[in-house]
Amino acid sequence: MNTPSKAEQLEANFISKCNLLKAAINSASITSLPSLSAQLDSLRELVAQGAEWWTKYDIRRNSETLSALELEVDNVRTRLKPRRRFRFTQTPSEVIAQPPKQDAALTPQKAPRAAENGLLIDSASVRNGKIELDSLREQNVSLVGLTNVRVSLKGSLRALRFSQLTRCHVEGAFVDGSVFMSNCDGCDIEVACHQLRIHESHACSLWTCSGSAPIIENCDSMRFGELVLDGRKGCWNDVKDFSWLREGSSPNWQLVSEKRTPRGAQST
Amino acid sequence: MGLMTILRKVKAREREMRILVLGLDNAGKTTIMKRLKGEDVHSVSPTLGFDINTLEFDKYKLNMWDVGGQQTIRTYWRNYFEQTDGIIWVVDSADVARLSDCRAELETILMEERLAGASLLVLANKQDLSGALTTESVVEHLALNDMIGKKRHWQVFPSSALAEDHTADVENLLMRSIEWLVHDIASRILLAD
Repeated sequence: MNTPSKAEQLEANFISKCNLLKAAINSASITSLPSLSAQLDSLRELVAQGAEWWTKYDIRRNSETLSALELEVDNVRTRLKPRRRFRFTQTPSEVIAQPPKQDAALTPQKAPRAAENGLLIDSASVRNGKIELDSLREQNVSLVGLTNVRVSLKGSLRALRFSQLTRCHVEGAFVDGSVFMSNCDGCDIEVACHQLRIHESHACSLWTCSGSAPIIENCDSMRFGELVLDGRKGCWNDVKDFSWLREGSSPNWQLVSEKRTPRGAQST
Repeated sequence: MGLMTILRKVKAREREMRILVLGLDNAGKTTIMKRLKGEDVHSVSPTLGFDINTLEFDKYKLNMWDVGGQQTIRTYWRNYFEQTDGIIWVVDSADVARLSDCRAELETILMEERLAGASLLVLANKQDLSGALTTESVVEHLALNDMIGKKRHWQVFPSSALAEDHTADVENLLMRSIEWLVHDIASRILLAD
């Protein structure tokens, strides 16, 4: 068996983290600045570890990559906070400025604008820890900022978005179009759809039957299982991880053998 | 300017245009391409790399590059910038939460030197979804007037590429938008001498 050497592992890790950081730099906002610094720290650590294993050439090249990224992050910081020209370390106030995770879940960013968007379901719709939506017809539904909620959807949807859900359970989602999921944590979701894209999520389990390969990006500890539908053969096990553009299987997801049949399954 | 003259002549002879189709993931880029080619839009899956579609339009041959929009691969967009005549920027008008991302990405590519001359067609897609922003609000939310202004030729068209009803209208509208783009490029590149 050919197992990757320590140097290769570190290199792979370094490259994937660089790509993540580049992506984060491109989409940086004032609230994501602390996370950029944290990502830089973890890259520095990797280079330090790598110094023991890598060739001289690799060490120099990776250090150069790191300095270039440091410079970029600095530029982003100056762009977003133009008045502060000099800074040495991350100040405590910056840490506090970032809202704790729970609050973020309750008050999603840009909430007033998202409300314009089709049927918006947030924590105001929760009754006894549940949300039940009946007789949906070809709707565009967004589930935003929910924690510990059981969501049951009945009917058909045109498009579905999950955003900032924590430890939620979602069932009965039959979507003709695409499903877009972001910033979810510890959720258990059953969804049949045409396309499935998942961003920035952690430790979620999805039972799915999708018209095309599910996509994950900047996710980890994801699990995928098959949602068994009558007469429909869908994708569920061919997950594409865009944060893992290298050869070999992605460490960010795994398959589960448990199959599920949607409760009150539709016969279409 | 010698090179430009040669390029122009070559292009005029071949009547070829190179068009980049860009936008965030899930905007509907590939669905729009399928519609333009009259193919089944229900078989569309997220684009992993890119697809090249060749479309005959009027007397022109359009080479349309449909490039995947996932965040991680957006950094590779710049590999496709060379010699681009037109950009189609596809917006998911129902995805209000990511409009700021959408704006930032568009801003980045418009600053790109290699795309400086390219005509820009913005498609406010998914107009058929409930809660979709109108074309006007898309212009407003993306602040297109401020961002682009008079620096380049641009137009915004509504589209609903996945709509089941009125497919003829949908295709007509899409064709009209492509017509604008093609004629704008033609007047700029092929006839300017």
